Amino acid sequence: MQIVMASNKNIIQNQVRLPLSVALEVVLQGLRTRLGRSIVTITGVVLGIAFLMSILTGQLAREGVGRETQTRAEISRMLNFLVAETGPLKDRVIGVIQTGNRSPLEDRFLSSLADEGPKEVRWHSVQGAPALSVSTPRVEAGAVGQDASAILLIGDGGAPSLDWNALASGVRQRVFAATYPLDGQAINNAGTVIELLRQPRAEEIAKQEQDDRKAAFRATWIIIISLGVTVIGISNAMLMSVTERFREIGTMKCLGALSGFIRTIFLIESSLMGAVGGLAGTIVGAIFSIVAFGFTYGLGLVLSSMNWGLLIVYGLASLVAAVVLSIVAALYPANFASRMVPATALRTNI
Amino acid sequence: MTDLQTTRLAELFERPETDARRKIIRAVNVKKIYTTNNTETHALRGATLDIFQGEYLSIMGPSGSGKSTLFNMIGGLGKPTSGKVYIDQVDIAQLDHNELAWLRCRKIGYIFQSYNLIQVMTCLENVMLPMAFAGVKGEEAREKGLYILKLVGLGHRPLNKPAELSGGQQQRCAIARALANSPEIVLADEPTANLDQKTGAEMIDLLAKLQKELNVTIVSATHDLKMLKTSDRILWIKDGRIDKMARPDEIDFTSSEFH
Repeated sequence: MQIVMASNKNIIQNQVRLPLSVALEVVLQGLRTRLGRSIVTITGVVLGIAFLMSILTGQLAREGVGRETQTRAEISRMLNFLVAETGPLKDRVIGVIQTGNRSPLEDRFLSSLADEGPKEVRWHSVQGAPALSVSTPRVEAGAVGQDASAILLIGDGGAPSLDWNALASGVRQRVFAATYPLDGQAINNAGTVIELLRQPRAEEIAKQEQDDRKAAFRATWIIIISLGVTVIGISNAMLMSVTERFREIGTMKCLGALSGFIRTIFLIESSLMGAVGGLAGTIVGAIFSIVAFGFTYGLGLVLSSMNWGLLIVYGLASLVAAVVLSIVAALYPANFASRMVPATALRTNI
Repeated sequence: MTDLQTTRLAELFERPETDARRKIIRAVNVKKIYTTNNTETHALRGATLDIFQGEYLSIMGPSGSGKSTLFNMIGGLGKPTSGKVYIDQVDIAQLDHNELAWLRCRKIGYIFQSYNLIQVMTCLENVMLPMAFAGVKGEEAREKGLYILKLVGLGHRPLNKPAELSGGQQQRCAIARALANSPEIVLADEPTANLDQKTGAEMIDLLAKLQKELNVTIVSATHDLKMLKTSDRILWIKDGRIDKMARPDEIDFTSSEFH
């Protein structure tokens, strides 16, 4: 083997820049060997992000449960309105006339209606709308009211132009229940008209808006506080893990490491720790929050009302926050240390 | 050490030319003032010193005398408050961080009193680290690292971490690391202080061999009598000033100063 020495030793040259793979190797080895210490640092990141994520998930769970509870109350009110007029619906026949598409609320109302145990639900659609269910065939307009205790008018297409009197001729009870406002003399003459959907009053809307604003303000405030806790937690963990290695940094500089190489090492290390800790923290925080809300409201309700899309967005945001915060928190001391005169770095005792 | 081929060592430390009177390190009126909490500490009060290529220079001085500061200044590890340090005729204050890194990597090998091994790396990896910084990689670096570890008597434990080694073995590893890039200058701060007599003597022999046969310049802070006797010149530093300079044969080693 031939060792090639610089031909002219008197000329000071520029130090070679090492490829990223060397830095990665040094980092992975450090993480493996210092496993205990790395886990402590990562735990700092996990705790910070888990806290943030549990707050965000909690917000989503509370919103979801609130919305779901409201929907359930609304459906039960609609059902009560109808039953007050028709009596119990068990073993009765109900006719449904649909115009346009159904809203999710109408779908859920219909399924609650089916839970009451009617003998038959007849379905007639005016404009080719999606079927109610596989077991409910479409019938002609004339047949929909046969023996029916009530005729439901649903869909976003508005009132169909039908002969209400003819429709009501074969019914058991002359009850028309609609999820949209009905007016016109004809239908009022044909039977009792129930408006299932309640139009909120102006002061109710105003109060709701005010409550929403309050909730949004509180949520923003809590998220800002939890972000602060996260920033402090992660910064502390990363700062400590760098400053306790000032001597090592000094030694590396004595051996010929460039400042850039040292910065690269800490950049890789902190982003790895941030990613691992962030992922764990996101999962732990989300699960913790869901289970905690599950105890209060029931796990089924929390899970079914959760806005999963937004939860994933929050999770990704937390992960990005973990990586960015870790890098920022580690880069400052690493940059500082890499610029240190080696003698000073070597003198450091922590 | 005897079973190793001297030719391999010569090959490693091959020099294009050597000039016995070439001043490889020059310090001119170097002063260093540390300021902590508004208190100024004059660590060096103007040290002027020439070190010749291939010389073995020992520095003596009590702790707090400015010995370590002088070490750091001539090793390019710190910046003097005033005065100049030349390594190979180059004013190191004129070098940018990139060139300084090159200098520390190739020209100078550092041996620290507290070893300063990278704890997460094995012995061999510690020795290979300066090689990696010099761009020597893979099998070549590994082979050279193993050879140097054998040279310092640590050939049997290349894959141990520093924490698994005794103080003496750690110092051997640190010496091996200092030699990794075949430096022209070896700066050693109390290299034998933590070694037993036998190991210390072996290390002194190794440094002497490098100096005599391969013209490596050795600057060492020491109180070790054997080391002092082996050196070409001994320098006393006191209160940040160079107190006296003498050859070993001019000194009475039986005096109370050495016991």
